Amino acid sequence: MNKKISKESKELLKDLYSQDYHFTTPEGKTFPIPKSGTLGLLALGYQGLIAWRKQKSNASIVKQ
Amino acid sequence: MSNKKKVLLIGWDAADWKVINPLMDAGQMPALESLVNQGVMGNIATLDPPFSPMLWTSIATGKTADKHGILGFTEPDPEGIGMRPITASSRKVKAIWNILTQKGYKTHVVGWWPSHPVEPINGIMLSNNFAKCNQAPDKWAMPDKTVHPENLSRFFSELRIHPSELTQEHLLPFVPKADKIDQSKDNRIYQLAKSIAEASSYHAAATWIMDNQEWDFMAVYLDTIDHLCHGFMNYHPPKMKNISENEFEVYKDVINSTYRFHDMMLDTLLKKTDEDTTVILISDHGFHSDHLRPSFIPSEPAGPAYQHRDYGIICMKGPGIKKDERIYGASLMNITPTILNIYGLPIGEDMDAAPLVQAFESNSFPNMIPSWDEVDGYSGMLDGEKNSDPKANFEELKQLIELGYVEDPGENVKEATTKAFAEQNYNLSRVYLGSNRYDKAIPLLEELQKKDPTESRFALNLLTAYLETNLIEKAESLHKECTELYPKLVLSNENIEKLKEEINKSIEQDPINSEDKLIKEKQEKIKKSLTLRMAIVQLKLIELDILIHKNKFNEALVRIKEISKSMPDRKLLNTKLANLHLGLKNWKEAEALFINLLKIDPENPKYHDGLAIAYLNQQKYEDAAGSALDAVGLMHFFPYAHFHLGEALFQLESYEHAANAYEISLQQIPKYGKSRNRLIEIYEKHLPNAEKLASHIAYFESENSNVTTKKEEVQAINDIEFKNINRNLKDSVFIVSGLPRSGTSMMMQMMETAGIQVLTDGIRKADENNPKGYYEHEGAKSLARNKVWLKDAQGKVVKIIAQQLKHLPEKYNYNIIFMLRDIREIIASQHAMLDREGKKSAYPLALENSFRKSLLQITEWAKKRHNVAITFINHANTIEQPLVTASIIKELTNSKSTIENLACVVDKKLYRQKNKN
Repeated sequence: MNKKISKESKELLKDLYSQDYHFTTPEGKTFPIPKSGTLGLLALGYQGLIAWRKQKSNASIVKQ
Repeated sequence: MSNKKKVLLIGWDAADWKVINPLMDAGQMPALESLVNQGVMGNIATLDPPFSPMLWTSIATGKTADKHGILGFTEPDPEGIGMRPITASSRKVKAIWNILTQKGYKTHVVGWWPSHPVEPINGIMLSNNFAKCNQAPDKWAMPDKTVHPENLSRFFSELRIHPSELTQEHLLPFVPKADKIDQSKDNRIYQLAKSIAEASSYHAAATWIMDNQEWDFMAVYLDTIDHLCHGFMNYHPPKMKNISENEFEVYKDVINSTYRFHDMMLDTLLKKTDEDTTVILISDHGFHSDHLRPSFIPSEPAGPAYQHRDYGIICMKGPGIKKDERIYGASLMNITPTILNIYGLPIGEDMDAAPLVQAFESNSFPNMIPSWDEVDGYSGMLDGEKNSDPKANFEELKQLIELGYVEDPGENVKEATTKAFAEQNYNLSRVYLGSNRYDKAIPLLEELQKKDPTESRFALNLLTAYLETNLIEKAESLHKECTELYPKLVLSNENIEKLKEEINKSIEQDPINSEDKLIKEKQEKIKKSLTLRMAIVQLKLIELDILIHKNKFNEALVRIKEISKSMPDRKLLNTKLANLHLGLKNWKEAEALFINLLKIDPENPKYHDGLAIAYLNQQKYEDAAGSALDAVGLMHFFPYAHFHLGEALFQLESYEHAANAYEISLQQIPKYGKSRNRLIEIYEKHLPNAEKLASHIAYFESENSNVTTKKEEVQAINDIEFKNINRNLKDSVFIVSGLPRSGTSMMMQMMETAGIQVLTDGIRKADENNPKGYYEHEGAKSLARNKVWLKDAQGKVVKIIAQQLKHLPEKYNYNIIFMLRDIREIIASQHAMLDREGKKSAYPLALENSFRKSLLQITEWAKKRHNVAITFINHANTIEQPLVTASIIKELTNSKSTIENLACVVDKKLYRQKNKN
């Protein structure tokens, strides 16, 4: 991994993992995020990815 | 609407409507369906060669590869130490993101191929190495120069997904029966995971940029469909013969699931756009997914590209774009001009295409500038920098080798460098071949072929180029060389089976080392041998082409029947046979063959056009129009098919539509005189339009022409009036014509003395009848069938008898010097000639009427052809007053020779008939 982390990257990472991501089904119900993830979550982009990682509780920012 | 113009450009490498349409029909690609319904969709024609880095750079620049400089998957390392994956540093011209940066637009680019090293544009750029992964998660470093601005590298690296992070939840939709795979022997599931992870990484980064950054232009490129098609298309239904039932069952869902996953990602991207955004979704080529899937991939670098189909996809929606319509005629090079047009920016005259105006509700034609590359200002373009990043190169190269796009260079670095240069030159020659620039392709191919005569692709392409440029002798010689050499290099079936057994044995003994060097070498030997076998088949077809070029149509027909027994590919053979029947004017046979070929390959525009020609010549005009329409619908850049459509509509008296078809063919080939002459006829007689008429007539004329205006002169011979037709034609071919024995050879001599190069093959030698030679070209005798030899005739003079003039191709301009001689004298002269040859016969009285008819038709014929000027020269006057004729020729040819010199060629002694009389 990159050795140095810039101030900008650090702040963006903090912001990325500090947000709560919620997803709803077309019917308006909250979409549960399984620990094993889904293809649908990946298709939601960064929000789905981070939400899943947070669910797995192994986000690298937490480690840091 | 805020009137802030935004463009989201999405690239799906290798996406194809043939797979998408059934999925959309089944409601499994709802996002794409909504895009199609709200905008326009159509085929997009790829370029040759269909190699993705070249194609995506043409998309991003609007230029062909010889201009933009990206010439394949690899390039020689600038330090001369082997090869490296192609880099953005090699791009010689500005891409759309550089132009937009220059104009101050917020511009972001994710994953474009090639885009490593990143360019410092006005926004974020993530290179094509951003998500590439060939290491364990803890060692997965991101190469330098992957992210611009560099200070966001660490942040974006967090948005990457390592394949090992995926779970079965991600993979089972692609491979529901994954439990049946023995992963110790079959690593394809890992390849699948890698592709899904890569796509998800680019997608995560793109969605973050769209949500968190200001943007005017956003480009996202995904190569996942292409990679997974190369790996799994052979398992896509319907099952191919050579695929086992077991493998088919395990992998048959991969392709459809890949498209569905892309649709889900598309849905997310579309939700991040607003009504001011123009969305453009494109692919660079299609991918064969049906019975046209090749069962064998030739042994050559980029061999897997044989699986690519000529048409990719395009759909667009946004402000001003038509809704729920199909567009025709899109090509990859239209994309950048279209985007520039959306922003109201001018198009570079050096770009190879125009905006896709057919997609917009109103056609506002853009402003032009000579070139964006001449516009000063900061564009973020790499300044010829040779950024070499060994780590990034290694990762990318490894992946290209795995995909089969690149040959493993092995350890021999010098050889690898030579190979990289050769590949680039070969690809450049393909670019030239693809754009009919044979003169540029030939020297490259000749050098490649000389260096490696065993590489059949060099020789086969060179043979095509020779034939296209009518270098028949060279083609014959090379054909002979290859026909002798290739069979010596081909392994026998026995030896191939033996090698296969050895490979299987080695793999069984040590499955982990299935990539062993020795095994690979053996596999390569087999592939090379099979490739040469294919080449031998193609040589047989080229032999037919040679016969056709030599006008030996009947011999070709006999030969084709002979070789049909040993020809495995009926499609190739029947294509040749159908074209042969067109050449022989066997319209019914051609029709039947094209109909059958269309059953095999219904989206082949050349078959539709061939059928249109066959129908046209049988006066089946409605059918002809339908077939020609099908042809141009599939391939808009097809001037001949537009002309055939015009011809059918013209005959159906639908003049307005016919004119439209002719106009399109002229847009594509302005020199296509057949269309222009028809348009002149239409605007003169059927749809009178003085302005258009004048503009088309003016095309043939030029004030700067070397030809000066001659005095109108009326002459009479045998009571027929001949009036010179004076047109200032540019770049014309000089033709000396007349009835045989009317003094044409003498005039050829005078033209030669005037300094005009004579186009003759010297086959017919001087004899007693024409002691100074005949100045003939064999091609002139079969002009109706073979016109290729006239390609190089501009500025030269060629002798063509009166009866053959009507077969002159209409794409060139002609300055005809027509010799007039009393018909009875001509007949007597011909008779005397036959007498000298011992072929004495009765005086041919019937000829007189026939010759008279031919002469009467000449002026009428020339009047209708605005690419023809004609000067009549009286033979008897020339003999009596050679200086007068010489002065006309001097003026006509702008000769530096003196009138006296020109007149010297007139030898009164040769005027036998007159002397006799």
